[in-house]
Amino acid sequence: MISNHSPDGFTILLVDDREENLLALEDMLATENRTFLKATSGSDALRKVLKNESIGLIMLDVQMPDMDGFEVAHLLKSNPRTKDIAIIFVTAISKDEQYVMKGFSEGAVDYLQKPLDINVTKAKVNVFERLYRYQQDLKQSVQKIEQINKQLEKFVYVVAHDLKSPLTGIIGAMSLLEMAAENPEGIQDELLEYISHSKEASFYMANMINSLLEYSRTSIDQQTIEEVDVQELVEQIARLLFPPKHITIQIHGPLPVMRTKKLKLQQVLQNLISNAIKYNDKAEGLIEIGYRDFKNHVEFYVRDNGPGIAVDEQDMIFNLFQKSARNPDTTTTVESSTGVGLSILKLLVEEQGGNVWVTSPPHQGSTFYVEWTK
Amino acid sequence: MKKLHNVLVIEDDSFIRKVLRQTLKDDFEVTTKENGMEGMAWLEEGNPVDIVLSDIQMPHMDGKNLIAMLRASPVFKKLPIIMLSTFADSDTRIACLNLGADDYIIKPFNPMEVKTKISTVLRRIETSKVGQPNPD
Repeated sequence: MISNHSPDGFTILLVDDREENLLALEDMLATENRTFLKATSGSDALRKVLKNESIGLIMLDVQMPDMDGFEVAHLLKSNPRTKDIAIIFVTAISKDEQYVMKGFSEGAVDYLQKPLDINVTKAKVNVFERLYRYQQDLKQSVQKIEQINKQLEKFVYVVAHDLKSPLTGIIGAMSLLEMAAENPEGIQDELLEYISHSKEASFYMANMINSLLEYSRTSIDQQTIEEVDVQELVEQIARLLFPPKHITIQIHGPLPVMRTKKLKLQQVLQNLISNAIKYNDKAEGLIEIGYRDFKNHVEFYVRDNGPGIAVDEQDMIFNLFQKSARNPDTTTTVESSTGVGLSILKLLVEEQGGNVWVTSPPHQGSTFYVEWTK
Repeated sequence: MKKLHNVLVIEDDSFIRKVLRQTLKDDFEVTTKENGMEGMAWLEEGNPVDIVLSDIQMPHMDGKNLIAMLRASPVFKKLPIIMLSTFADSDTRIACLNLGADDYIIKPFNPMEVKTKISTVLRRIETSKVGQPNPD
């Protein structure tokens, strides 16, 4: 197995000043997924390399008029954009040590000797194709990891910031208690207020920490991909959340069956549905859940007829989530679920390569959309 | 007894407003506002304010915008302002000082520190006034 994702094409640039050599090489190396570009001079080759980012290998004739193969290779290796492209020198000169050495010192990856042995040439190019694919896979993994790392860094920053906010209240209350202790007459009510504030802020922090632990636990445990019947999952969530009598949950299904990380999808949907229940302020609460199917992803929505979210708050609830309009005074309000919920949700969805956003036209409730990669 | 200086506290969290008021009330005349916009309105009405103590992250007008507006105004360009924020990173601190803030206090704060920093900034301004031969 070369690679576990779909075999993309492999582009080879053939460089030789003689047209017939180019045709012979192409004929020798042609397979279904290979694309060939041809250049008949060094400068032509450089132009083609700069124009095509997909080139994975260059078969480079050494002896050409004007600019020889070594010179071409030297220029390619000195350009950061092209320095990693593999090169196989094709040289007619019999095993001349000097040439070979020169080739390697130019950063060439390998060389072949003319007249070309069909089997050796094919085998060598196969090896390079495989290497190229490994390299691409690696690049993709690194990119993905870097992206997740960046998200995590940002997340840690925001979480640290948010954990400090209730502490400001607690330390403030303690300082006031300290001041009050110096002159304790007739301050019973004040004392109770400071103590109750400290207690609430401490609970708030504890909840935040719980959400974080929950997040890290699911991140560690749940890496397996399984077949998930989303209809069943949402029905189960709706049951387990024990919505109060005045709340109706409508599922516009059947929701799809998809292969994904179940616990992560569950966390995301559960968070949205539970928010929709919790913040609903209507005598007859209505929560609708549905989806739209796209080529590479599914777009779920959770719509409520609750209080809605002001336009200028809509980005904030995911970012500076500790202060949403729904809960403006976090350090003085106890919430069973904290703002960390929505930012973790955003992180979970982005981890899957998706996206989350909200729309909330005035007086029409809110709709949260989740783009979940298939 | 009438206190010497008026402090305008701008902070969106009601409890922190209370903590600040309690901390400062013995030494200063304290007015509290919930965001930059309300603070700015209070100033523009001509109320006496000797120093502003402001949070950064607030709805409507945040602390950074407030500093920028004060520094751009001919009337308030020299009004001392101390920032008070949970943001502890040096980038934010430097940005605020560059915008024209006179000092920066990181939350959670020690109430004594807030009191002392206000006094220090006010003292510095008094001293520099004495040093000027021709005040305008």
